[in-house]
Amino acid sequence: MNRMLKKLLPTLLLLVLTAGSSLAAPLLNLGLSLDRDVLPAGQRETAIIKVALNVPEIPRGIERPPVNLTLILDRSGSMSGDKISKARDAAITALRMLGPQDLFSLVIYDHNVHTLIPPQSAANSERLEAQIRNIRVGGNTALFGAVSQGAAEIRKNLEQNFVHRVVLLSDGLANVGPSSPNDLARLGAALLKEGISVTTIGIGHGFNEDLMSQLADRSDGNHYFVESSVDLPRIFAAELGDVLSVAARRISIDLETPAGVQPLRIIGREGRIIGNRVEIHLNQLYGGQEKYALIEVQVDPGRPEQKLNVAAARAYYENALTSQEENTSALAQVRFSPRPEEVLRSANKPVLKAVVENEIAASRERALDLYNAGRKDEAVAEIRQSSGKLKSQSTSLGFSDLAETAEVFEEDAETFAAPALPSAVKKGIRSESYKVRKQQKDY
Amino acid sequence: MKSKLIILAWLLLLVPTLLLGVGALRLLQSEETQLLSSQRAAASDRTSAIAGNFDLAIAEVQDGLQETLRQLPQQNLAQQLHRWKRSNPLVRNVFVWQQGRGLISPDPERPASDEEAAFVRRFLPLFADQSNWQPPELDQKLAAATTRTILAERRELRLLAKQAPPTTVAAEMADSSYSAAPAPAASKPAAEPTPQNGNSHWRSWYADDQLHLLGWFAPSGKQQRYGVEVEMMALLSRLLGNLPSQTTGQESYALLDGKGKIFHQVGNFEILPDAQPLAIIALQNLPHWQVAAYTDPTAAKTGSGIILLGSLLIGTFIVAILLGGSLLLWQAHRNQRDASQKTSFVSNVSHELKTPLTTIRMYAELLGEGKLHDPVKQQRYLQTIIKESQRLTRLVNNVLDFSRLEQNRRRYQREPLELKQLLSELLETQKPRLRDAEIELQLELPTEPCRLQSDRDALEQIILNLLDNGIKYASEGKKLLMQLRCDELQLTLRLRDWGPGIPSSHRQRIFEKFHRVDNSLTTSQQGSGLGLSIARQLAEGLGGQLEYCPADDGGCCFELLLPIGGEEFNG
Repeated sequence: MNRMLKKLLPTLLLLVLTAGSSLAAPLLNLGLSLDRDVLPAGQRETAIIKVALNVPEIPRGIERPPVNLTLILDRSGSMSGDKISKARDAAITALRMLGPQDLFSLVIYDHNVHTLIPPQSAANSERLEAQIRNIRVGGNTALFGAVSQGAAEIRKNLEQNFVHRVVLLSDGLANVGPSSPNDLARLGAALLKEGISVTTIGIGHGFNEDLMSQLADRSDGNHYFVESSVDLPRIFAAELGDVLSVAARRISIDLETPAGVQPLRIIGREGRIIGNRVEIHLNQLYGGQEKYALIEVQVDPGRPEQKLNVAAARAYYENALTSQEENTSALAQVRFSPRPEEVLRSANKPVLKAVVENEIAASRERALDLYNAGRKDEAVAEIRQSSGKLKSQSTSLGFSDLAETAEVFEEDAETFAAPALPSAVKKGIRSESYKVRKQQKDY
Repeated sequence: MKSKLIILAWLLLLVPTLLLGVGALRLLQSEETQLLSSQRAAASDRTSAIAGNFDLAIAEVQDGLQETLRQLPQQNLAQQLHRWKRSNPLVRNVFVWQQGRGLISPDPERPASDEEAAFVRRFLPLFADQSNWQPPELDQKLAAATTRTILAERRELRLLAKQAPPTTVAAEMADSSYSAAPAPAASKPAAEPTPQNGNSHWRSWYADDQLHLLGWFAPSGKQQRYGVEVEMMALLSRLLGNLPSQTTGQESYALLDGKGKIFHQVGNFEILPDAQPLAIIALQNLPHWQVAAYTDPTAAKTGSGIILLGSLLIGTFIVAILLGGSLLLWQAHRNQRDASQKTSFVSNVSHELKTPLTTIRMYAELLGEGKLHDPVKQQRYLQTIIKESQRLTRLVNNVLDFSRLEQNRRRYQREPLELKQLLSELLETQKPRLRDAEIELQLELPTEPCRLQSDRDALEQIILNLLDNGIKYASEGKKLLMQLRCDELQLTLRLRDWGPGIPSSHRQRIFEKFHRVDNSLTTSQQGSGLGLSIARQLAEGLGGQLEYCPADDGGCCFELLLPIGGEEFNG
């Protein structure tokens, strides 16, 4: 019965698709593409499906959804001097970018957490700016409590139609309350369920990059590493640019494969694989940006010239511009061929490029995890192994430039083999990998 | 006798004052401890109220989750659970477990995500039936305690409020084993999904060095359990709001985790890791977690500052009382001494006056009887009468001088004097006395005349008084030495005797009025105790000074210093 249903599903999907297109066109563009459209026949193959969500630029004249922004500023002792003054400037930059329909609140924290500005319209910005300029430093870093309170400020207006966003800025280790990356990741995961994303901005070399990046990762926010406080206003502007261009919210992608096609793993992103189904959740999509997920699947041997729908995907989301629930779907098809040259010709370079970038990012992060756990040799081996694999893969498909990228990546092994890894390099690895895995805009 | 009385009086003053001081300090201390204990009690009350809020919030969460579990439709249970997990921030993981088959969802062989794999690993002993599903004893005890506390009452009330009008089917009495609460959903409107009958359970679980809460529902009649792992970080994050947002005064509150480390704190000051809590209350629904109240260590110092100030004040009072009392006692003592001195002065003077008067009267009567015809004897009697009247004059002069000096009415007549001449005239009149006392007076005078401007009478009085002293008290020395030295600015007159000298304890006081070294009527020598006092006052009145100067070989010596010019005359 179940199997029957699954066989029927693609046709059903097609039906729905045609029905949907006859109505208003969905906002999002869901596209499935494979690393090779033609697979060698008669053997078990692994393929990679790129599930891409394209959002068009929000046209001028269309009212963007209002934003409910909470800024969390670290004012612990280590922030003194230039950092806090630049952070104040940056907060004011953010405030000025908001409109009267948006809500702004500000939480400051040291060992204590204090809501300096409760949620209110960003219209009366002059009074708020004066309050921001009065922030003084001193004390420890109660990061968990600060994020909790920031989320509480957001929750006051959770029911309304806002884009909810917490922006956390810190330069230090969380030394009051939970301080493990895992704990903060769990908090992020819980906040994501409420539709609250946390963007984390780490300044200087003192913060815990694992904690900050995981909190952002699980709550689907952005993560920035700011080496010099001079860049802070620019970073805030970039973040606000994202927040102000949210086009879709609460996106869930369901991808289903037929019997004989087994999802193996998701490269770079978090998700669930239950049998033949893959679930991926995003909190929001920004106008003019593409986000994608890479799913590796195992395909059972096929007959020559057989065509197979390897995956059917459907994205459910809320159109942030109209507050309407919408969905869109796509199909991915492969053909089996006994001729290797045909297989080679069908290789899809953009997909492979994404795969190589994401594999490198993931491998770098794994190596860093190993390095941080004191297993330096394994970290070096990890990089050597995955760069070798990527190189041979790229070469076999005939992309010499991707093979070159993999070769450049191999040089990272030397970085890990060096006696000490500078803190700035670790933070750079985390933030760069994060950008690749989450397709965060360059800043 | 008198000094004993004074000491007794002083002790009477000292002892109660000290007792008063000690009592006040005690009172102050007990006030402080009372203040501290009341502060402690208040903090303890507030802390337990906060802890109660925490427990209540957790109980609400647990009840809510259990209610959802109870009402979940049974078909496609795993999917229902999963959908619930996806939307509820407080749900970290869900599971379905069956007796004999073990874990059904999530699939332990092929977990859908890293998180599910970690969940399976975390609770493996439980799902593999290696660990007892019954909560550990501690939890049971706590749960038993909970039923008796206010929490249980509130739960009852809450569930009572949810009660809908009864339907005809009253048989659906739910379990009574979980708590004393009435069946929560015995009667729900038919439109809602029918809740299951069965048992609800919660247990705490330690893994990865952290506390986890697992709740499950076991439908009656089935060998199945399905439940939920609470998202601890989300729960704790929400719970932080139960700490007071604004604390009064110098108090801070903290939520302490299972290891006693500060999880979150609120208050006006930072709690240091080694700070001692003022009050600490354990949470019932979150094993080993605690709520604690702290006071500012710097504020405690200002409290002891009040104590310090208080004791300083008390000390000052004690010293003031003692000083004032001592001053009064001393004044009384002096007055008494002065009174006794005056009394003895009056009797002395009367005695002094009476002796020459008696002599004069006796000789005058003898002469008046006319029986005495020997002219030599007559002459001698007359001389005695003259001598005694001179003595009387001296005595009366002294008393008059004294009263004048006392009232500052003494006038000095400045005139040019030649001291050598004055001395020789004066000593001529004193020769009979010296002869009678068998004293030899040696004179050491300068060759040059010694001129000065001064009051003749005052000067004569000073010298006579000094000489009188010598004759009266140092006759046993048989010798007196008078030295005079003149230079351009001042003259020095020194009178030295070889008598018994003056005991060192009296040296400071011999110039005081009425003072006598041996102040009793039975003393061998009569006197008023005024001679030296008058002499010094006169010397000072003339712009000079009179000093006692001890002699090396016994006896004593007085030194008179006078300015030559005499410009500094008083009046």
